[in-house]
Amino acid sequence: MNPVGANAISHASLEQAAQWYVQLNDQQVGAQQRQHWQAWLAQSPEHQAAWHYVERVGQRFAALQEDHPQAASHVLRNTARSILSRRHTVKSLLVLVSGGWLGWTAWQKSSLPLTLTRWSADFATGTGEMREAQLSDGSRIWLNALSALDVRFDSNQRLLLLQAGEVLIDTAREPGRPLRVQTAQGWMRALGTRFSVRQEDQHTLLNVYEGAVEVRTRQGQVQVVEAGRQLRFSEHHSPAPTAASATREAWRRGLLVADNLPLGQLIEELSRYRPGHLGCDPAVAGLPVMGSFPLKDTDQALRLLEAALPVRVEKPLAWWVSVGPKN
Amino acid sequence: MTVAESSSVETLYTSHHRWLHELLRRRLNNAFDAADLAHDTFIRVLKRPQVFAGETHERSYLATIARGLCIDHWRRRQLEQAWLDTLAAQPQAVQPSPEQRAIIVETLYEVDAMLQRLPQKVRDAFILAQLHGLPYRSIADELGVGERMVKKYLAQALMHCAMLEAELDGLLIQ
Repeated sequence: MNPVGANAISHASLEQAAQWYVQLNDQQVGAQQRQHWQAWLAQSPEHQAAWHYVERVGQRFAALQEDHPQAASHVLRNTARSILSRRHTVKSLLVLVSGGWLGWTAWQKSSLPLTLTRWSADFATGTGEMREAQLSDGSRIWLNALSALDVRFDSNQRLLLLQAGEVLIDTAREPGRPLRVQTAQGWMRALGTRFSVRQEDQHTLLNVYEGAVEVRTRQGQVQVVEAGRQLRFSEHHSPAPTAASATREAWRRGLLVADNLPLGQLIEELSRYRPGHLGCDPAVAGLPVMGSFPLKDTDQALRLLEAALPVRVEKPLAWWVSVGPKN
Repeated sequence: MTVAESSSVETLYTSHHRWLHELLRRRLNNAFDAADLAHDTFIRVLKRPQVFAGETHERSYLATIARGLCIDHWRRRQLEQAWLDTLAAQPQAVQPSPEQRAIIVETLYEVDAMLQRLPQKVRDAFILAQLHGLPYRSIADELGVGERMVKKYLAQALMHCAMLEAELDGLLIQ
């Protein structure tokens, strides 16, 4: 329960409490330091509250400390990595053009939902990671950050299952063996083409840059989307296509191009390229943004935003960033 | 809860339960787990009643909650399996009782969720300190960094987790 009866606690107090905790657990801690800590604790109820929360973190581990702590540690440090071995079986399907198998470091830092999807995927990217690959039929794919794709090729069809995120595809022609992309909302069949598919929460966003793509929703609605058009469809609704957004392809070049994009959406997009927390205050989430932002250097992108808009970027921790209104 | 709220959850249940169950069954490949999670989804909605702007909004809200629950479910199962595998690989390990097992899986899940957004080295340093009780010097050697850096990592991890703990109690972090 809340030990202070207050409804707020400062970063500074929590930070000091954490530092004290680390110092007191050092084997070389002296009596004098303990006295200093006591004095700090006695200074204010807020210090006592902060100390309470830091201690509670330690208590979270109690059950694991009592029972096979080595096993628990192994699980916490390696559970994600142990899936790697399964991936080797699909290695023959893909010839990677650049990069290693997986960016483990980036992968570990990224958000849990996507991490989970990616565990079971053949081909995946982490936070801030983009990957280019050539499939066994000669098609080329670019996987955007935090994306997962499964490859199911057989003698009748070339099926790509987009589990999360976004993929840009430059298809190789192969009469008699169509290339199809499957998302939660439906299927897209390439009619000799270059197109991108993005899995959103309840929709699939298709952009066609060359050729055409035939869309079939889960409910069986069928239509053809021509080059230069985009279509955002759901499981049961496939509206008329609109003009394709040229800016959608820019991520492949490491750029985020905003053309009147609400700040909230831009921040959400940027967070795919940045480990840790990146949030936006609802008070400024609706501000329209114009311009190009480097995806490979999100710090620079945040500086650009701060210079262009009435917002302030706050960074209480190295991996905790929030964008709010300028006072 | 007011009558209006409970009846709106009821309407929500009648119009979307089958749809949600089907969505979950496809995602989990298991009708029993799907039934459980669909049930849990509506329990969540009961706890936090919402005003909806139409049927699409209702479904998207339910799907979002259900997705979160699926993720919890998968992650718990994965951690449990990893832990059992690790135990099985130790020749003389005693098999835990079902109660112990439930407590450990729950704790693993909580700790894992707290640590998941931390950078790798910070996370590793923290686990080595909390679970192995290693002195800072040994952690520094293990991670190939200086002892001062280890202390910095540990303070960062503690602060990050303490912030989450305080937020759990509904405190604002200023």
